[in-house]
Amino acid sequence: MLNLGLRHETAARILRYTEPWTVIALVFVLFSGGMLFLSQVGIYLSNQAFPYKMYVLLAALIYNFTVHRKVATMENPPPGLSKLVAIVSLLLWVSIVSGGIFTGFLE
Amino acid sequence: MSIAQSLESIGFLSDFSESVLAYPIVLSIHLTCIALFGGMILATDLRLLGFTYKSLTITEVVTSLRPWKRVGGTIMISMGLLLAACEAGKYAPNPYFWTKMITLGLIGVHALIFRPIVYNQTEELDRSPVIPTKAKVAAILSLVLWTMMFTMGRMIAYWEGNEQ
Repeated sequence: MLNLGLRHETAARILRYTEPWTVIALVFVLFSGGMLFLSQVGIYLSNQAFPYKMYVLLAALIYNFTVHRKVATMENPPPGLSKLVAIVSLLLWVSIVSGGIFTGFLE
Repeated sequence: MSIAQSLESIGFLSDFSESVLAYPIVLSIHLTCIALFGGMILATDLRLLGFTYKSLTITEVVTSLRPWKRVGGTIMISMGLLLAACEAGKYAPNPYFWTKMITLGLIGVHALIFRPIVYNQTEELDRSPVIPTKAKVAAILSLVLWTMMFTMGRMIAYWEGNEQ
């Protein structure tokens, strides 16, 4: 969508190729993450960073399966729109990584 | 004083490991670049195995993802070195850290063997009616080695030393 790689294929086609892999990975991530959370519920709930990570995760998941998918599968999306949607998506997922790290460092 | 301790005591490294924000921020960058780099490796290996991006040639996938692999890899390794250097004393006795370093060495060997015959010969792979076995072997070994690398990286944090 940023036109920075795999330029000979449309974003829609790339999405179709990667979607099964992302969905499988997502199931594993949510399941293993859920197990980790359940093993120490109290510690996670009182953590300063953890709630932010969860809000951003929820936002990222909704965004991924609505706005992101819609724009990625558009036949001729305005180039500015594709780029904006891709950048927001990257920022959301990077924030989740940071949120996870800070969960381990803050109390 | 051991090498690890002298490394740790270098001014900016000790300031860095004591900072509340700097360490987790660098670790976040390290992990984000692992995601970028790992994602590119995964996409390349899945294409070599013929599992995805089938409408694109192997050449297109390998060459167009290569710059991102390099950017991600360079930042990932620099941040990793910084993280390891500032806690060298803690890492030095950790067996998972050394297993990770040995795996990194094996990844170097993998590159030496397969770069000339697979990753730099993508046009030949594209001309072949079926994906040659050497490409599939390279992809499987790469997936195994990188999975080991990430797992060992994770395990470093869970080693508590000999509890005597």
